[in-house]
Amino acid sequence: MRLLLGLGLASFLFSPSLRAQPDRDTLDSFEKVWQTVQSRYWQPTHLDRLANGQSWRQIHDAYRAKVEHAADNSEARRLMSEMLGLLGQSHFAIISGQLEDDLAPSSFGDGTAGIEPVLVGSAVLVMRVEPQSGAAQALVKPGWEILRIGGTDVPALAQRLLEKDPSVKQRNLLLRWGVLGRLSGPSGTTVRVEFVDGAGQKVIKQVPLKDPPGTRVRFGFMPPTPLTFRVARPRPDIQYVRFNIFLDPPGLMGKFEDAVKTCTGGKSCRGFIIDLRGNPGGLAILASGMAGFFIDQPDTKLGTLYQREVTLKLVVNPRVDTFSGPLAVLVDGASVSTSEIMAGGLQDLKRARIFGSRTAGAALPSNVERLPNGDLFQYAVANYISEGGQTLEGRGVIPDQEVGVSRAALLAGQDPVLEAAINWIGAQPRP
Amino acid sequence: MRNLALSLLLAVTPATLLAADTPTAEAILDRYVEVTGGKAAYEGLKTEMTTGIMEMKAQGIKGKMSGFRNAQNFSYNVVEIDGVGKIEEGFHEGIAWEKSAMGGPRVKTGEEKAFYMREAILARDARWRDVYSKAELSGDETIDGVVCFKLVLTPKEGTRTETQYFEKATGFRKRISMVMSTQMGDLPVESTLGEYKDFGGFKAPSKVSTKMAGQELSVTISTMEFNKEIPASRFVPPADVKAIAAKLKAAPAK
Repeated sequence: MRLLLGLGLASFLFSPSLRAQPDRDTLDSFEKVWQTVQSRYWQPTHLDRLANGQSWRQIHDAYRAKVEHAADNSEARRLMSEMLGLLGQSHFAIISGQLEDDLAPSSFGDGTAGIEPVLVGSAVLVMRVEPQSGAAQALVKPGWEILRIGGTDVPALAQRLLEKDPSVKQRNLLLRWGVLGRLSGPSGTTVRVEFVDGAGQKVIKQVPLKDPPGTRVRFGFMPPTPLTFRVARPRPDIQYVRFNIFLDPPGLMGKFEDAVKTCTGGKSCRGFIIDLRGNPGGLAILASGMAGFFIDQPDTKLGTLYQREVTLKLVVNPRVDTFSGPLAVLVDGASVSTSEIMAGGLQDLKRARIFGSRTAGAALPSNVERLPNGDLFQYAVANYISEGGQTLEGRGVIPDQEVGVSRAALLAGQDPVLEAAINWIGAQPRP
Repeated sequence: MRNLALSLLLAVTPATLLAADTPTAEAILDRYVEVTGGKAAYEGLKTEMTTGIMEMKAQGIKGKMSGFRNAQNFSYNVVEIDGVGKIEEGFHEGIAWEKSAMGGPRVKTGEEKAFYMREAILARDARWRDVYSKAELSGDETIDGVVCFKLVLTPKEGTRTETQYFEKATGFRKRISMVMSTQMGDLPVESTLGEYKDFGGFKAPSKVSTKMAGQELSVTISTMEFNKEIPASRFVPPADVKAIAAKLKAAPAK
C-alpha cells in the first residue's frame, strides 16, 4: 500500500519500437495486459460494457486477432494502447521498453531547455524560464509564444489536439508533455526554437540543452527522473515551495520538512504556499505525508482508494510540530495524480485554499510492471475518492479561486496565480 | 428412540473420528515447536536477529531488511528500499510505532498495536499459550500439493483471529492468513512459508511470499542469529515518535 504509484507521467511516454513482427513475448504481453485488467480493475461491472458497447471479454478476442496480425511490435503496442484506451480511464499505458533503455537518457533528462510551457487559449507560451538553463542563457523570456521547435509547428500541434477531441480534459497536460519532449535531447546540443517576443517580433534562438537541475531519482521500473525542489520567500513572511515530482521520499521529504520548520515553533511565517503546477504526481502516500505538516488532528484522511478487494484510507500522520497558518496550494491543468490527491484532499478538509486552474483529472493510483516483451505496463489499481466524496478522475480539482494566466502578465514578469495566493495570505488575520 | 440414537450418533461420530485421525490443535502447535528447535531451545532464547531481502518483483522494488527482538519483548524492524528510503517499526515499553520518510512518524493503537505486541514476543511460537486464548482445528487443506492442518487461533490481545496451516507430514507451518488491521484499513494478508533451513539450531522458513491488496511481496531470509547481544538503544523509538506518543497520552480521550 505504501508502494502504490500515482504517477501520471508514464501515460505520455509511448514510443514506437524498431523491432519487426510481433513475437511470442509480445503476444504473451498482450495476454498479461488483458488479464491484469480483468483481474485487477477495481469495478468489475465497468468491464461488462465499455464505451464502445463491448465487454472486456469481447475486446480480448477482437484485439488478440489484431495483435497477432500486426506488422511489427510497434503496431502491436499501439493496438494494446488502443485497447486500454477503451477503458476510458487515466493511468493505463504501455511504455516502450526501448524508450526506457535507449531513449530515456536523451529524451528525459540528459538535456532540457529549461522552459516551462503553458497553454493560454490556443497559444503555447513560456510560463517560466529556469535559472541557469539553456533558455536563460539564450535570453528567452516568460510570455513569449512558442511557434516552432525544430521541425514541429507548435500552434498546429496545439490546434490538432484541440480539434481532435475538444472534450479531452488533459489537453493542457498532453500538450505540455508534447512540447517538453521536443525541448529535450542530448545534453550539450541545441534545439532551434522560434518565438514571438514581447514586442510581437519573431525571434529564432538556438537554445542549449543542459542537464536539468536537481538529482536523478527512480522508483521501481520507472525511468530515472530529475527531482528539483525550490524554496523561496516571495514575501519575507511567506514560505514558498515547489517541486517537480512526488518521488525520492528521503530526499524530497527531508527538504520539505526543512522548509516547514522555518515556519513552525514560533518562527515568523504568515503563510505557506505549495506550488504543484506542472507536477505529474508520484507516490500517493507522499501527499498524506506532507499533509501531516499542516494538520494536527489524528485520524484525518485525504481520501480513500477503492481497490477491488480492499478499501484503503490515505491517513494523515500529524507531525510533532505542525504549521497552523494559512496554506495555499497552486495548481494547473498539468497538476496530475498525487498532486490532485494532495490539493483535493486539503481542499476538502478546508485546510488549504486552492489557486490556479482546474487540474488534469487523472488521479488514479497505479502500478508499473514489466511485460514479457520488455515493455512497461502501467495500470490503475484503484479509484480515488476525496474526503469530500468527489471522484477526481475526469473531473479534477476545481480551485477555490480560479486564476488564469495571460500573456501580458507573463511578459510583465508577473505570476498572477502566485500573486493571488500571496494576497489571500496577506488578508488573513494574524494569529 | 431411533431419532435420539441417530442424533447421538451424528453428534458423537465426527468427534470420535477426529480424535482417532487427527491430533488436537494444541498438539499441532506443540509439534511445530519440537520440529523447529524444541521447547528447551526456545526457552533459552535471549535475543533474535534476522536479516533478509524484501522484494516486489513485479514492480522492480527491492530492499534490505533487518529485525531484532529481545527477552523484554521489545522489537525493531527496518527495511531500506531503493527509491523509498527507510521504513522502521518497533515495539518498546508499551509503544508500538512506525516511521518512514513517506508518512512520517506515528504511534499505533488498538487492534494494530495488539498485533505488533504479539509480533514482538520473543519465542512466541513456544509461548503460544500466552499469546492465544483459543486454538481450534478446523480441518485439512492442501496448499501447493501439501496436505495441512488448518488451525484458527484467537489472540488474547485484540479480536482478530489468525488462520495457520501446518504440514501434516513435517509439522512445519505452511501458511498464515488473517485480516490485518492497518492505519489504511483492514487488509486480508496471506503469507506462504517455505524452504525451511537450520539457522543456529532453529529451523525457520527462508522464503516467505505474501499477498496483500493485490500486491505480492517476497522475503528471503539470509541470516538468523540468536542470543547475540543487542544494545538496549536499538529498541528505543526515535525522538519524534516519543514526542507523538507523549502528545497522544496527554490528549484527552475522545
